[in-house]
Amino acid sequence: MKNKVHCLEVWGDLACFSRPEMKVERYSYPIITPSAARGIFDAIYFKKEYDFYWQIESIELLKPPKYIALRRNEVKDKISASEVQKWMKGTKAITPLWADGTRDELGTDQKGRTQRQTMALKNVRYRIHARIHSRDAKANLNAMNAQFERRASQGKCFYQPYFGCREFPAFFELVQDDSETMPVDIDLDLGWMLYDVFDLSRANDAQAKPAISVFHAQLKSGVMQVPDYESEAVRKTENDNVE
Amino acid sequence: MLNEVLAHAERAGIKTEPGFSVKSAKWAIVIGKQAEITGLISLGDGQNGLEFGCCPDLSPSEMIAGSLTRSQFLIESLAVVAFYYKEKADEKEIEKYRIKHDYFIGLLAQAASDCPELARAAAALNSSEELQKLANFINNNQPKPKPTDSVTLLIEDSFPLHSTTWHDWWRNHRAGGNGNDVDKTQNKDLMRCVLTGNTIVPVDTHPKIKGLSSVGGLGMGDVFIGFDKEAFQSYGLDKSANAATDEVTAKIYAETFNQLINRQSIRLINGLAVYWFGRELANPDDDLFAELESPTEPPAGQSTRPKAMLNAINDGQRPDLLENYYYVMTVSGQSGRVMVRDWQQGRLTELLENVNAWFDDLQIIARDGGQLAPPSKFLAVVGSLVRDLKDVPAPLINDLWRTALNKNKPVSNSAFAQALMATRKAVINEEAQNHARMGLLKAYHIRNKGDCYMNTQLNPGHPSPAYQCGRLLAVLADLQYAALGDVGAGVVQRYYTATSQAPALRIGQLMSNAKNHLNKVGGGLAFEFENRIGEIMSAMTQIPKTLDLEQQSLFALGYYQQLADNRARMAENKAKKQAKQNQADGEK
Repeated sequence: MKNKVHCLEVWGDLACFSRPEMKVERYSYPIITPSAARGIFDAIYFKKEYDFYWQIESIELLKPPKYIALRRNEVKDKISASEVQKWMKGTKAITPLWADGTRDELGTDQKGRTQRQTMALKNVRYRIHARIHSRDAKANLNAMNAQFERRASQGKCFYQPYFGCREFPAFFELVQDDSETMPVDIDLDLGWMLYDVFDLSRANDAQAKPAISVFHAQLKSGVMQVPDYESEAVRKTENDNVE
Repeated sequence: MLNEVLAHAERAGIKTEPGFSVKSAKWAIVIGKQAEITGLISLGDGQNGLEFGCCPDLSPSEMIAGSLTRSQFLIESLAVVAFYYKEKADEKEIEKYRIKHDYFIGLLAQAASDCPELARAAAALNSSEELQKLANFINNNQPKPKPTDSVTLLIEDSFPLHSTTWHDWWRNHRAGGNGNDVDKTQNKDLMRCVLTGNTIVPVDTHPKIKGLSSVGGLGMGDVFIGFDKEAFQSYGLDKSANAATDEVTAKIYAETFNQLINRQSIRLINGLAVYWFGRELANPDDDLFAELESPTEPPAGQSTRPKAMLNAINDGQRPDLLENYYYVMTVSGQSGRVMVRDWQQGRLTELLENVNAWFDDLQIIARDGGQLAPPSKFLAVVGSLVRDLKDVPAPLINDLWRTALNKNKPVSNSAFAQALMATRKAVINEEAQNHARMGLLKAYHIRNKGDCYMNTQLNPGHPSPAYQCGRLLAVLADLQYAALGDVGAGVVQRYYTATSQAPALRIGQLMSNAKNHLNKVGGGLAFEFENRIGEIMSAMTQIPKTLDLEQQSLFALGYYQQLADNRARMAENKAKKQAKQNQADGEK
């Protein structure tokens, strides 16, 4: 039997759910992805030792997608973790992450800054339906559901939920009664959409390897049904679902 | 987006495979039976050259793999094939061309095993005498070819590029190449393709999108999917594994997009709107994007093309348009990457309604009255807001583009403010008012304010006092001209700005001047002017003290439409007078 489905209404000024093929010059999907939606639920209630993940059931689009173009100067390179460890041990001198400089000054075009565009969504609002999917058969789901409801209804979260990028905060409210707001009446075939970056069948930690999964996303009358991660509709990297 | 490009490729039957590409050649070196060069001919229209659908193609990474200098096969630059370079070329450059030239000949000689006629081409290009002959052909040609122009071979009246005999050799050659893209796909983890959902081996480097150099792209091309900088990669995924796609899929989307750029794109100053349809249009004239770019002027008394198409659909004459879709992507280049600025898709009928609404909303009476101004080109609307098109900020163009493609989208405030400012400037400088700009102001009131009184022509019953004030100024200017003739700086040049901002302050003064003008005009004309002024005054409940920007634009529209009406009336009176005169002359 399926666990209780919770509903959150989420909204914010800006959002960017970058398409993987357009994540350098970012272009957002017109609707929140299941993984970004999972992230919002995780921000409110998640405990690694409870061994569960949030299974998104459906997403309702409450405001039509509107895009806004943002351009920012960003850096080209990243600080490597091993370098930082060497700095901490004092075996190597600290070198700054160059935020500017020409190719001649830096000796490479792999460092310095570059201008990147973000085609973000503005003024977004969704209703997300999700349930706790426990990997542990003995888990006390009732207690977990109650904990989530208590936290969500009080506006508690471990960190500020966000819409795709941390600079775009998401605000939330637990929906306990049937809401009167109807989804925007649009139909869209979005093609293959990113489902999740990690293998949800396993407990992932900070070192977890990515395992890209995709699904055929369709918006019907403003509602996107999200298949279960375990279903065949979700195409995963692992060989268990390979044609 | 890219999945729609792939879907288009499938529908249009665009088939491509790695190692092959569509290319154009501007020139052909003619090679005779005796392995001699007999001429150099220009191909195609002389500008874009002749397109060949299946040319051998090495990717940029394949060209430089293994630190070997390579050339393309069968189609290359004149510098490589004819060893023809600029006089200023330095030794290093000449050496590079020589190596590439030798490589090109080497490929021809190797491919001769499958395609024997290529041996003649190899021999001809290897002979210094024949190369000298070729240099003479090049130098004697007018216009003189450039070393960078693309060239192919024409051996005994047939292009090897049209033949398929070398295809297998080329596939094998490419697959056996050192460090080619085929090799790079070995020993890689399987991933899910983000465009097709299939399990694939991700390709490292994606093919380039060409044709964006005019909109910020690089001459050598830009990539849609490229993660060449560390900060672009996430989750420890390497390069293009961040958006895994296989080699064939990458090739298809790039090839298709390149073809679309060449055939179906509109330049929007700093972006390129590339469009396609769900089904090929039965009639090329149905291309609504081309209509937006350059609308056809309808014959007098007939509807614009979008309206005619809409009518045809409603009459059941064009069922083929009902089940078709459109897709339009606006792109530009940025540091070697393709940047998507906008994406729109929908039913063709929706597009038709939207484009029709755009032309309807912009439609306005011509400044000399009488008839409607011809439909404005999209870029003419953009250009009407600034002195020079290149000064238009990119967001403003994108915004107007979206407004043109969506009848429910209001005109942006920035476009409106620019239009109002330019209108005022034109009035003061006594320049002819721009039809597109006045149309945009009219569209603003229709779309943003739901002004149902706003017509293409003068509407004496418009309820806005600001509109009526504009009309009044036009009539008073007309009266002044009738009384005093050209006085240099008339009431318009002196009082337009002040009256359009604070009418109550100026109109009293203008009216007292008008009394003098009426006295001077006298007779029936004065009576007519009095009637016109009286009609405008009676349409106003009060003269507003100040006008905000929106009201100022109503003032501008009232002034413009009244001026057009005055001119039409003048032309009509003149025609009547002339007719009377002709009649009187006839009676005499």
